[in-house]
Amino acid sequence: MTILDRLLDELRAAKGPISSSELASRIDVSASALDGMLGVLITTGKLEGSSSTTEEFVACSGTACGATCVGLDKCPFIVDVPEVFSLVVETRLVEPGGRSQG
Amino acid sequence: MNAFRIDYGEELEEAIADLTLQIGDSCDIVDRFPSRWLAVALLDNDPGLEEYLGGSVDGEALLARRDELRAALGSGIDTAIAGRRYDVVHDITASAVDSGARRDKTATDRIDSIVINRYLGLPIFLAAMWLVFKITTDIAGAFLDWIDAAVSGPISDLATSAVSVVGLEGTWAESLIVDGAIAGVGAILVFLPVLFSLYLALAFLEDSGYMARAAFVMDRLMRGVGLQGKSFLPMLVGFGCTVPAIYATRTLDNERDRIMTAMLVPFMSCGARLPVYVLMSTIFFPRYAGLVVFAMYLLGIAVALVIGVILRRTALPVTRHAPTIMELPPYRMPTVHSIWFHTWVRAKAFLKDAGSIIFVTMMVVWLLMSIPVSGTGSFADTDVSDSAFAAVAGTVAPVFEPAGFGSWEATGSLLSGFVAKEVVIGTMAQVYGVETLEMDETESPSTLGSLRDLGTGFGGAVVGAARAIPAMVGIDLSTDATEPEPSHLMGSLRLGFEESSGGHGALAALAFMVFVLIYTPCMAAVAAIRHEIGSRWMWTSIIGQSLLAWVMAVVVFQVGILVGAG
Repeated sequence: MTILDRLLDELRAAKGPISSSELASRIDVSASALDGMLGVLITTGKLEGSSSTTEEFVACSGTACGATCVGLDKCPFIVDVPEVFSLVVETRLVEPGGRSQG
Repeated sequence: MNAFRIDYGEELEEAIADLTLQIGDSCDIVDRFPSRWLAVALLDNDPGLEEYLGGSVDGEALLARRDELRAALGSGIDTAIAGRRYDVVHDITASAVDSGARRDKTATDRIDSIVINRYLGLPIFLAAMWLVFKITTDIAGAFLDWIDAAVSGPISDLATSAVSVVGLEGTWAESLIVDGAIAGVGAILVFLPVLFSLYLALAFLEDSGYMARAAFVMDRLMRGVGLQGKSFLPMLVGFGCTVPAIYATRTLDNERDRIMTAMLVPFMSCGARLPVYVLMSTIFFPRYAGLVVFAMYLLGIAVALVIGVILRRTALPVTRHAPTIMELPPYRMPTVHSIWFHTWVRAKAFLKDAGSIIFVTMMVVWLLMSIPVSGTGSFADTDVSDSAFAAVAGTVAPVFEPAGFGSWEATGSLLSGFVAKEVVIGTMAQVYGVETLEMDETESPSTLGSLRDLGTGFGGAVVGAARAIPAMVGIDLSTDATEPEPSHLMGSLRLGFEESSGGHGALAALAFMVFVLIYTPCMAAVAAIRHEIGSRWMWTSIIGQSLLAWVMAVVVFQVGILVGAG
C-alpha cells in the first residue's frame, strides 16, 4: 500500500469532512507534501477540487437580479471559503475503444 | 555506482520488465530515453508515446496488461506509480530531514483542536454568531435614533425648504419627495450602521480565518440532511444575499443537490431581513434585541434543516456523498485595510440598492398611497387609510389575523416586501410614519434647532455605543435609568401591533418576524430560482414558503397566547 493509498483510505474512513492539516498529520507528511499529493490525485481523477467549478458560477449576471448582483468577480457577498477536495465516486467508465477503466 | 531505481512493487515491476524487453532497441527514441523509463511511461498511459515507439509494442496486449494491473493494484496504475515515487521521497526525507519541528503542533493546530472539535465546534460557532448580533444590535443600535433624527429632521426640513423655493409647496411633488423618497428610502438608510457593523464583524471573522472553520462546522450539519459538503458555500453566501447564493449552487455536482440547496438557501436570513428584525426587536424586546435577532438566524437554519430532511425523505431521496478534505488557512490577525475594504464594498452594495430598486419600489408604494379610493381626499392629499394601497392590503389583511398582525399596514408592508425585503421597513415608515407626522406637523422644530439636536444626538449615540460594550458582558455603566424616547415610527408601530393583536403586540411582532424570515424571498431571488432549477421548483418555493411562513407565524402567536407569553 502506497502513501497515496493510505491518504485515500484515511479519507474514505473519515466520518465527515477532514482538514488538510489533520490528514497530513495522519499520514505523517508535511502540509506542502500533502498539497502535491492532492494535486496528483486530482490529475489521476481520484479527487476533484472545488476551484475549477467555482469559476463556473458567474453569479447573478443579467437584469433579473437585484441591484446588488454584479457578477461573481465583483459580488460583495461572495465569501472566501476553504478549498474543498472531494473523493470521486468510483464508477467504471468506458473508454471510446471499448475498454473500461476503474 | 548503481543508477537510482524506484521499486514499483511486484506486479508493476513484472510488467515494466516485459515492456522493457519489447521496446528493446527497436526505435530511435531509445537512444534518448532509457527503455525502463519508457516502459513506466507506457504503463502510465503517456499520450502519444505508443506512436513514437513505432509499433514495437503490441497495443492490444498493452491495454490488456493495464486492465490486469488495475485489478491487481486496486487503484489506478497512475496512482500506484505516483504513490511508489512518493513512498521513496518520503523515506529519503524521513532519513535526511529532522521532522521534529514539523510534528510540533502549530498555534493554528492547537486552536483548531478546539474550534473545529466534533462536539465544541457548533457551540463555538453559535457563540461567535451571538457575539456578532450583539455587536450589531447593541453597539450599532445606538446610532439608529441619531440617523432617524437626521432623516426626519434636517434632511426633511431641507427638502421641504427646497420644494418651497421652487414653488411646489403643498403639491403632490412635496409629498413625493418628503413622504415618498425621504420617509421610505430614509427609513431603510437608518439601518446602515446596523448592516455596517454586521459586515464589519463578518469581515473580521473572514479575515481571521474563522469563517473557513465555520464552513467546516456547517459541513457536518449539511451532511445531516443528506447534502454534500460543498453545499455550505451557497448557504454562507445566503447570509449576505440570497440571489448569488442560488447561483452559487452551480458549484454542486449533481442536480439533486443543486435543487435541494437552492430550496434551502432562502431560509438563511439575508442582510435585507436584518433591519426588520432589529426594528421589531428594538421596539418590542429592547432588553433582548440581540438575542431575538440571533434567534431568528438560528430559526432559519433550523427550518432549513427540517425542510432538508423532509425533502430527502420525499421528493429528493439521498445519494451517497463523497468524503471531502478542506484546506483551512492558518489563523491570522486581520488588517484594518482589509476589513474596511470588505465592509465598504458590502455597505456600498446596500446603498446602491437603496438608490435603485428600493427607491423605485418606494415610489410605487407612495403612488398607491396617494390615490384615494374612498373618503374625500384628492391625489397625494388623502388619508393613507383611504388610499388604493390600504384597500389592496386591507383585502389580504384578514388572512393574517390569526397571526396577530392582520392590519392593512402590516400586510401592505409584507406585500411590498416581495420586491425586496428592505422595502418592508420603507413601507412601514411611509404607512406608520406619515400618519404620525400628519398629527405632529405643528410641532416641527426649526432647521437650526434640528441641527443642534442632531449634534447632541450624535454625542449621545457615541456614549450609548461605548456603554453597550461593557454591557454585553453584564457591566452596566448607564447612569440614566429611564428608557429612551421612542421615535414616531417606533411608537406608532407598537400601537399598530398592539391594536391588531388585541393587546399581544410583542407576540404579534415575533410572529411577524418569523413570517418575514420564512416567506417568499425577493423577486430577484425568485427569478434566480427559476433560472437555476426551473419553474416547477420556483412555484414550490413561492407557495411552499408562504404557506409555511403563515403556519409558523400563526403557531408562534397562538401558542404564545395559550402559554401566557406576551
